[in-house]
Amino acid sequence: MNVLGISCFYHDSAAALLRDGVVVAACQEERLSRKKHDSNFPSRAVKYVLKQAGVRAEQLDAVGFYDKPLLKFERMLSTYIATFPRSFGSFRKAMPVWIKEKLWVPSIIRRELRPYRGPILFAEHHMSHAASCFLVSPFEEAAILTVDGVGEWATASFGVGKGSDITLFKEIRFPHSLGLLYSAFTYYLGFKVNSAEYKVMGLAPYGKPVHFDRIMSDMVHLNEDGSFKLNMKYFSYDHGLTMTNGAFSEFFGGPPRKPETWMKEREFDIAASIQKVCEEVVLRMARYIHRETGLTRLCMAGGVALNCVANGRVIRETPFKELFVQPAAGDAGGSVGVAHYVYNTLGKQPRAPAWTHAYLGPEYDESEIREYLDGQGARYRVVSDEELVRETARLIAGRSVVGWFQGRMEFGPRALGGRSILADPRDAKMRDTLNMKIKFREGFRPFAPSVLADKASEWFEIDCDSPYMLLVAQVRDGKRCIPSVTHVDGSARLQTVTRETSPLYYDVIREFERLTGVPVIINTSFNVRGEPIVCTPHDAYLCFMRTNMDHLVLGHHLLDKKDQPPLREDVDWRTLFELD
Amino acid sequence: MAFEESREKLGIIGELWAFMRVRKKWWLGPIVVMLALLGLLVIFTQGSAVAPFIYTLF
Amino acid sequence: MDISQLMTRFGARLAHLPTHTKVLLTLATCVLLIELALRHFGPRSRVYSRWTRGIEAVGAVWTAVLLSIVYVVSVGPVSLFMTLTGKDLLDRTAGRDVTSWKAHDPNPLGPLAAARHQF
Repeated sequence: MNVLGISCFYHDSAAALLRDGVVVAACQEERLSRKKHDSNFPSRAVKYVLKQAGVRAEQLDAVGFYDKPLLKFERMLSTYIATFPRSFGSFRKAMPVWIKEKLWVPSIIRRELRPYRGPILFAEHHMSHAASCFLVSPFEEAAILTVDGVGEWATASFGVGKGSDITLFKEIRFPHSLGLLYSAFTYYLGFKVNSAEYKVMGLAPYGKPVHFDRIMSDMVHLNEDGSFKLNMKYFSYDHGLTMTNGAFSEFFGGPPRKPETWMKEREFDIAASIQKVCEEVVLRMARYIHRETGLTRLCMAGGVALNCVANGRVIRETPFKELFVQPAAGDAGGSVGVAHYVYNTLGKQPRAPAWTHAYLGPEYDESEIREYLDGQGARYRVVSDEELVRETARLIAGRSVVGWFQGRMEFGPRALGGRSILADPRDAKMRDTLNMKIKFREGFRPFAPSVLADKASEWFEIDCDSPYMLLVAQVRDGKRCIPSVTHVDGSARLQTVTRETSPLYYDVIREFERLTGVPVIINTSFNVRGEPIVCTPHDAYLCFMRTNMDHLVLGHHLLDKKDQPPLREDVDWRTLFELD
Repeated sequence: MAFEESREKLGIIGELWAFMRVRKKWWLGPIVVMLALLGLLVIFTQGSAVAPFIYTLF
Repeated sequence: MDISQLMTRFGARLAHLPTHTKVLLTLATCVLLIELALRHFGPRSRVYSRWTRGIEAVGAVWTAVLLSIVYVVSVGPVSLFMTLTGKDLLDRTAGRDVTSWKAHDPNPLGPLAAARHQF
């Protein structure tokens, strides 16, 4: 049985294909369209997942859409009614898109999937999130917490999953939203909403949460059980085109920061404060859910589940013993969620084995890579597995920055060793080099380490796996020799790597350890600021040539920047990507 | 094919009606009717010769 | 009644229309003819793309006008009704409660039937 899951029309559209309950392929549209957070119908991603599965559209048994458009429409109209006449600007901007596109989801799907004639099924947004984490988790029974900006009405929900069934018990409803609260601060701090929330999280350790008490006493009315209401006098996202209003600016003593301007202690402190609020809410929610369900395993999804600092605290400070976070916890993961919901929950089918990796995207074989490189006139060496591992580790240890392109692309926002840039974590200057000369991004942004899973607890204060880079842990006191992946507060957002899921990548880190005594390397996504992570050999080669990366490994092809002919381009590539 | 697509699109009317009936959201009626009319006007005239009067809306 | 009679009658009716209706009809006919001509003779020409852009600009104004009317005529009265009946669709009352968790309200049709609907 083939089920296609689709998420689109808000941000991060994606498609996923399930064959007999197993995800054969899943891919975000942005990787193929090269437009960051692309929200259009994922035509390219659909085409890819069908091709990967060897299935034609008419052979699909069902198509699932990740939310309920009419409930969302109702929520929007309710908002316009409740905030009349201030909502005119928002109404004027949103309605044309609804009238033209969002109200016609079934006919758009049929047009794109012609000649498919089977059913088109819809799941609630938070049910898609819940299914996306629980049904691929290793747990037979678990509590589920989903937290994001907003779906239809729900902005957070919890329930229980057992076998193939999911029951959602309670929810918090719009406009009271932890995700939108975090986004409002993201906006106020001069970053892009729905895109740069993780920058606020990265900024937080530089500051002190001096506004925490004030926020909690006036802006966020938090109950003991983690539920809350926002004081809407500070926000305008319910009716306007901005997230915060004059009262919010007054609260923090100034207007929102202009993007790309200098940041000072004030911004750091505000970031630290909202991060602490976010953690406090998530912790209280998790403790409450534990009390309500009595379960010790938790699955999390929704955009807020990408807040790995909060996730780290959930596992350390609540009674939950095990935590599973969906690698594509945001809306893209909804495509996997709805497909599983349709197959497992509605179809009453048993679950397939749990996910062990997120390598669900396109891959390119050696002949395709060679053909491409030859076409570009690139100079390369073809090396064996053994040589590849030895040479890559040697280059990294010698302070080279290496582009690493292997196997299938990752699904979700993190690069996990399929499309990564690798570097030496022992070099304190490496962070600046990577930020300024390769990624062209803000200097404060930390880098994440990949560590051999069997060595993780030796180096970090963690006693569980973090295969999807969604947990933050402290670097152990005696191991502070990896400054470029250690944040100012001594923490790191780590990925644990096992040989079973990523043999070549594991071997490179192990070889690096043999050379240096350190089983940790820097792993950052293979892209520049504002660019979606590379997908094809072409994307990777362009990114390699445009930046100051030293070497590129494309499958078994090793390229040295010094040997390459200059890249001929008609356009300034810096204008191609809008800064995030 | 065009007929089927049109039928699929007209399905939204029934869907909106069912929504208001099942969820008891009658107060949405006036807004939904007006927007649906606008929507149908736009959708059904796209690509036709009268498009210059309509398709530029939205 | 033959064709010529019909045409005469139609022409007479047109002649009796008020002047501003005549102007509007002429304008509309011109737009229609230009559109048809451009579609037929130069669907990819620069002239057609410019023509489309011009029409789109007019459309943008129309959109604003139409949506303003829809907003005032449909959203306004419902909003007034809600205000008079004291109903806040967004539950924005500030202040601490014991809990703000609300029961999840699944579709009364049941999961299978509900999945076939967009609500």
